Amino acid sequence: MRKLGVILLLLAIAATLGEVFGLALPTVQWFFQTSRDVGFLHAWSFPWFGWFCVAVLLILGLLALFNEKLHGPVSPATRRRVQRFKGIKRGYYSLLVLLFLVGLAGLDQIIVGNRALAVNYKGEWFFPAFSRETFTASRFGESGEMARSAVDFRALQASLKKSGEGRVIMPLIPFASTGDTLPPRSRSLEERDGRHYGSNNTERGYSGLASRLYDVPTAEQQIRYRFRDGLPDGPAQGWDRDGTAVYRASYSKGQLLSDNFTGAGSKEDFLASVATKELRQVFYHPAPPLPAQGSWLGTTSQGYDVLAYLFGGLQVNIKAAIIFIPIVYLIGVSIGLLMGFFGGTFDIVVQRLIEIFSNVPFLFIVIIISSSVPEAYKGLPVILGILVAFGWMGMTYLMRTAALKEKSREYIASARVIGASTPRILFRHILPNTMAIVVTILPFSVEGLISSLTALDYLGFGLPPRDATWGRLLNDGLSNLSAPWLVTSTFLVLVSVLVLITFVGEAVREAFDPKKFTFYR
Amino acid sequence: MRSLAPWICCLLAGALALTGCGRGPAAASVDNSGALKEFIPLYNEHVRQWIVTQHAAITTRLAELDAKLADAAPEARAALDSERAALVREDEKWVFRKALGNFLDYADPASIPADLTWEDGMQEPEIGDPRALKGGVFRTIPMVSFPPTMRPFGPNSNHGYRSQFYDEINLSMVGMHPATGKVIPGLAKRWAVSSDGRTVFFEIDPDATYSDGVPITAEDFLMYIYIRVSDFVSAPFEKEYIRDQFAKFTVLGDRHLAVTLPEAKPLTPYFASVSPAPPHFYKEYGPDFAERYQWRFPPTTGAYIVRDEDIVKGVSITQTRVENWWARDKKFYRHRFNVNKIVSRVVRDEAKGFELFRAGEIDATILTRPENWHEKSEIPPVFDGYIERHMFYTRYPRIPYGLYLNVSKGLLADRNVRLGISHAMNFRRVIELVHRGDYARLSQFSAGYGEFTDPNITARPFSVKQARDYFALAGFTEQGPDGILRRADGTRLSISVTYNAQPIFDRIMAILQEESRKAGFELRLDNLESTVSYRKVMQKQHEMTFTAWGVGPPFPDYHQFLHSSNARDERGNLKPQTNNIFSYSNPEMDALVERVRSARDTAEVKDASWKVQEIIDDEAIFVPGFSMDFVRVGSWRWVRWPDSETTRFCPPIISDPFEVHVHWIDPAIEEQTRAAMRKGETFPEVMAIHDDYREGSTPESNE
Repeated sequence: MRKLGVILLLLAIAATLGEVFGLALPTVQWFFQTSRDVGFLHAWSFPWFGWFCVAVLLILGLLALFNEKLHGPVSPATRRRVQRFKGIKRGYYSLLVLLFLVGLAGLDQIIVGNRALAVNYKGEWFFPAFSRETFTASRFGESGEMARSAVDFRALQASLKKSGEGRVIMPLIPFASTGDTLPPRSRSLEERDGRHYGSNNTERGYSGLASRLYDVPTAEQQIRYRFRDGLPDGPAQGWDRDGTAVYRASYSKGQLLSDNFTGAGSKEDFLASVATKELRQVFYHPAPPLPAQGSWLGTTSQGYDVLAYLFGGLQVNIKAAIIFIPIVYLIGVSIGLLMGFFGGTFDIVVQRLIEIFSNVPFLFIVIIISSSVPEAYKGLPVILGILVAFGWMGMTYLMRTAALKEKSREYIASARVIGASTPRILFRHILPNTMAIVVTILPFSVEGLISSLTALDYLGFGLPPRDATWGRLLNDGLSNLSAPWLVTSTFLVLVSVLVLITFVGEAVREAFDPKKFTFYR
Repeated sequence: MRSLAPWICCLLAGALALTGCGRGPAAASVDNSGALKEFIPLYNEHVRQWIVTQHAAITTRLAELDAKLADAAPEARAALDSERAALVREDEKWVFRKALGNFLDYADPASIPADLTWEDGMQEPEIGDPRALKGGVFRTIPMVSFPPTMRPFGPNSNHGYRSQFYDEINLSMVGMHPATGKVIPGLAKRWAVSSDGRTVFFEIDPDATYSDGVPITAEDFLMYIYIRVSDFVSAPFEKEYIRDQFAKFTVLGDRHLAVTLPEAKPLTPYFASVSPAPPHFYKEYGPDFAERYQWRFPPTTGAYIVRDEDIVKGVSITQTRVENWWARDKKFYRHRFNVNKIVSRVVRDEAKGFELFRAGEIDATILTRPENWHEKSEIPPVFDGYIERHMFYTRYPRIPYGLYLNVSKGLLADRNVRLGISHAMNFRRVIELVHRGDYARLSQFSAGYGEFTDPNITARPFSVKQARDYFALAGFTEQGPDGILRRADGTRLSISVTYNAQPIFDRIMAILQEESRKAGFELRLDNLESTVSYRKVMQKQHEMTFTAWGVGPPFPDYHQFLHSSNARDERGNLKPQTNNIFSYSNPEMDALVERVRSARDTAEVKDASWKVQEIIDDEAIFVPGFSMDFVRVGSWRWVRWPDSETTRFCPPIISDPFEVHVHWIDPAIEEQTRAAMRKGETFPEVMAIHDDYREGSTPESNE
């Protein structure tokens, strides 16, 4: 509890500092950024929503920190349950791994991103990743037409290394999770005894396309050859640096039959414009993993780095869970308790309402709403709104039963006798005793949320393409089964996270079990 | 005690259920043979009244315009004068049509003028290869879904497979030569154009019969019109088209038909060409036409029919070659339509379709997409020569893929903003990354029309400097902290693009979005499900849209896309459900567009088209995307393609090589190939590039 309080307070302080100094700190920047982006969450450039969130964090942090002082020490029953949970190693370690993942996701642009952490240019230090404004190329000496455009830090890193005017420190994975289409990847062909070998070999050598590149990172092709059995065979095409097709040639079993150059200058100059004779196999997106080029899990069909994209998807899932769970539980638990406590007409009416709403076909509503939401509002809030609208009903059944059970106990009767008001009875007496149910269901709710979100995104009705989601990557992977790294990585990550959550859920269930041993018959 | 109640219940239930199993009304046969004769006077009267109304409207407009012209300022005179000229032309057209009398008429064959110059199109080169063998079963590219109906017209008949069964196969009076673009005979043995250029006299070939052997008479062409325009069927496009684009049909005995157009047109015989409908097949035509004829294939004038037993719903449709097809030995057709059967299966997944081709269950496939050509088909059957690949450069109008700007929306009304957008869209990178450099940048809206395309117009290249300059002219000089330009009053340079949410379009748009940020322009992506996106665009609620229109030879068509009558209605509101998605309205453009539509000869079409294209380019309402100059095909070895003097691989004015049916199947080669596959013998790899018709590569201009 105390640790949680400290974390919340630190978050509140970090958010304040970030706002005051104009920094973009990982995770905590979200409060003020959303406040500024969304129309009704700010008033005349005053981001009240951001300050509201900071205030909430402060209050919750203080409450958690001084929980012992306010409400006395933690009850022995709770302490026993926590001990028991920690004793179940599988669940406990899963929780630790999950918390580590949440922490990792919280690090945001420090580990994954295409903005540099620090740049030292001509002696001056800049910190683009933590700055709210976009750095323009003019800051780093660019004076041509690209002066006012945003800097490409990866290219800057390469050029500064060459010129020695400074240094660029990039995050661990120097790619953004979306909005960062990479140029095609490439890999050098091996040459042995005059024949070339690559990734698509017949017994006698490489068969496929291979190119000579002007520039490996941008994959600008000079000449593209067709290879059969390790030797050039068939038509070859060449381009100048502007991309105009200027060269055509024809080979047969490695022998040049004819060639034709239609560009400016001489053919020899053109052929010599690339110093190296290296032939590379170009991989268009989706490209396979090529650790030599920094691509550990390959790229998606769009050209985003898969590892960065998975990280983005993790962030989205965690964000969704953090928003969805409290809202759904708040609504579901309250209504469930009320239903159970009041009973009678209220109970019957609300039960019937819930029955009607649970018969509304979920998928149709999602499709209709996804199609009719105007482009400005598309995103996580709408999807979560729909999921909340359909998700709160599940909690009510359980809470209603729990409330009914507790209502008939003597301590409730005595509370009523001494004149306790309904909210007090509900939240002070009944709720703490039904916590066991809430806590046990919690991990499975999270699991359900992640599965629903992934399913919706897989079908294309979830988040727009600018958000990285595992469901969209799954869809991409299944339409491109010849690129197995897409499906494999997403599947493994998705299954691992869900399995970890399941382990935690099971451990919680066992920890909160009143009996020491439970036998399933 | 045994209870009889359950038994009685069963009997009652059974009886109740069986009463529903009656034979529906569709089974009852009907004979409406006399309906045509009754219909003709009614329809003639309907058309006559319509002409009177239209003429009256034009006369009123002309009178109003004259009044305006009388007290108009000199500057406004020019626009009003051109409007008046167009109205006078319209008026003349209605006067002409009024004077013609009955829309559908009969006359004496002796009334055909004696001084006509008859043409028979026989000077055009042969199509196909004389070595073509007749026979074999061609398992063609699968259908993605089963067609909703077999009818050639009526509800839901305008689906994607209609051309496979009808448009490619049926012969009408004349056709267009797929290599030279000139008129060739079809059902008509010869034809002649009247002296005023508006009437075409067709002489039906005496050998012409339907696929069931019934000879074709001139009255069958009236039947064709009747079944489409009567109230028994919902076919709004056909009704309007027949009534607007034709002035009169005259049956001159059994063998001659005269078709009169409202105005003289270039390639008049081609535009006057109509098809017949077999009266004996449409005997049961009535109010229930749509259901009754849902799965019936009419006797055709072409080479392939679909027999009832060959329609396996949801699974496949097979076309069978007509045994004694009347045009079997006629020039232009004798080396075509060679295979005996064409089988079209339903395979919903495109990837699965390719795998079926690879396994030899489909005989040929289209490999135009770069990933299909460069990766998916770099497979052992290709290396071993069992599957051959062909790349063929075509001379077909290029599909205008690109960004269509709705000039009625906010920032897009400013021409400088539009010019800036033209320079901020990096289609070259799209072509490099998504299309692997295979495609070319589309030069303009009407590319690929041969002489009707202005070769001096090219697409504006991606240039950050020029984009920023134009945006600055429009007032976007400051750059916000997020890198997007804005005006002094805070308006951000942010415009949305609506498009169909296909994965490939998502990829293209994401690249355009990232690249346009370099120019300080924010492209917001509004990807919607295809029907929703189509509807939004048809309601003119989009700002920009990435889409394309289906286009065809011989001439470009502009009226539907650019005429002001399709942009706004009389009250000035945007007009929904028209194809003018530019919402573009300009009197000069109107006049030109009408000139293109009603041009009397090809020179006029060319002149007016070039001027229209110049305006489109000037106003930057269309940002050209990419164009596919070629089509790529993969076929198993036993599918043979022409290699004759007149036809190398395929004629050029086609959108896909299978539609001309010049290919054939060689059974000897099939046996040889299958034997070789069993024994593991290989053949040399075949990747042929046929670039006889390749147009010069179009470099981007540097304005």
